[in-house]
Amino acid sequence: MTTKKQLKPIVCGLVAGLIGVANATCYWESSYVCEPYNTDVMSVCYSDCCATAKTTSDWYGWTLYQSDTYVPGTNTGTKSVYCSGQATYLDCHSGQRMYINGSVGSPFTKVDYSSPLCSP
Amino acid sequence: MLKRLWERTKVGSMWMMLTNKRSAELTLTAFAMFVAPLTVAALSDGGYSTTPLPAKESLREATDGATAETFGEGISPIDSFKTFLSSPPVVEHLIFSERLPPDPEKPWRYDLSVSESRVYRYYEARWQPGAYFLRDIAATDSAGDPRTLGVLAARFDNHSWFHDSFGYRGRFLQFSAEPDGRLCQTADLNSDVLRQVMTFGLMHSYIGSIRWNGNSFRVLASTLDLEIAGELTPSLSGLPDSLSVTYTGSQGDIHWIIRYAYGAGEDTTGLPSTIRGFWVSDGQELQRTEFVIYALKTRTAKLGLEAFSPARLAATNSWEQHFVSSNAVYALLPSGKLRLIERLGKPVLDKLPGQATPTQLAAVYAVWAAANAFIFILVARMRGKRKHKLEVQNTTNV
Repeated sequence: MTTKKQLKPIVCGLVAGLIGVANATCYWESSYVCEPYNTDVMSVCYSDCCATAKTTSDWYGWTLYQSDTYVPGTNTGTKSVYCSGQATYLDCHSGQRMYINGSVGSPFTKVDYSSPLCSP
Repeated sequence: MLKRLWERTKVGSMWMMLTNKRSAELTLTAFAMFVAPLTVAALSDGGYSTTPLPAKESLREATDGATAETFGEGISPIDSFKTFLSSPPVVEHLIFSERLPPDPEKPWRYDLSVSESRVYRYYEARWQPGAYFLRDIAATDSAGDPRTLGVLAARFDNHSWFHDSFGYRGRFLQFSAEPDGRLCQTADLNSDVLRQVMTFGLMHSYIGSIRWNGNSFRVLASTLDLEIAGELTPSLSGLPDSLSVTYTGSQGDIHWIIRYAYGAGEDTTGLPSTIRGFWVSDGQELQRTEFVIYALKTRTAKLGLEAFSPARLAATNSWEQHFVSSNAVYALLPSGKLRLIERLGKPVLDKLPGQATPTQLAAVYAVWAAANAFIFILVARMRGKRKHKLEVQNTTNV
């Protein structure tokens, strides 16, 4: 004996909506100030002293955002953040101002466009 | 199919608009008053020579015919040198180079002298009390080239500008009208090299803050919490030969010697063309800095905003212009309006292509609400009819 169970319209709508949301969720990258000016970002240490390096300007990084709108060419698929710029410190022996390039976070990885979530 | 339906109904766009902060377009009338001079200003550097000049010739160019006065005229080279440090003239045009550390990956190395480096940065600059302009240029003859390879930092009274070609920053020029805001501080920090050249090699010293007592000097205003003092040693020919400097701070006394060289031939200005800084440690000298001045043109009359505003450079480089306030950044639109693009550390996301406008959003939501109401009414009426039908059947059966 077989039984037929009719799905209620509201359940069908809910399921369809959830599938639609999941299918449309994509990612895109955006830049922002990840380390403001004059922020401590690293230390430069000698055998007998350390100096703190501060950012010489706002550092701009890239981060990932999610959306339900696919925009060709802007989508990303990994959640890494890369933040880089120039820093300065005072050499603790000579008193000289030194400049170095630095970064925070792992290198940014571009999206895998073959991901079904982000395909057009 | 569901996805196509999703896109067609623009609900995806609406969802994003609801879940993310929208960019806001602002019109700040007061700000337009600040922007206006930027858009009309033209940098008055048309008369400058783009031919590389030996330092000696450049220093001869220091006479500004319009002012009918040569800096240092009528006084000894030593007095000219001292006067420049204690009360510098307006510098209308300055081209100089900085020799970079020989190992850029490890600039802290003490086993290498900067004299071993073959890497230089070249700068174009202007200065007067309360204003400066500094930018990286490709070579000594590139002042007329609008391309800025590194940093641009400028200030005129309360107005500050900053550009850096590092990564994403290369796309825009930032400006601010906050006298002590973070952009002003950024520009000041990044113009450190200009201060060092204008003080003939002194570190951490504000321009014009050196006071003399005979050949002894002290710095009245340091950029750091330091006491800075020293002694000038003249050469046998009556030119400034070197400065012995002691920087006293929390680390104790740090000793440097700054040595000067001049272009070939007769020089009566007393202004050096080559500045070499040596850190003295345990009696040993290690050269750590070197600057060469290729052109220095002074004047007595002050320059106007147009000499310091990088508006022309922004236009020719197609830089976006960003206005920086204490905790937010706005993009200057071609219409003259400002659009909020970022609160400090929190990006305000731009409207993406295909995203619904507020009107479209309201319309879609209205349709959606009406459809729901219609279905609800239909269901309610259907249930009412069914209930009525059952009651009629029950009554008939009875």
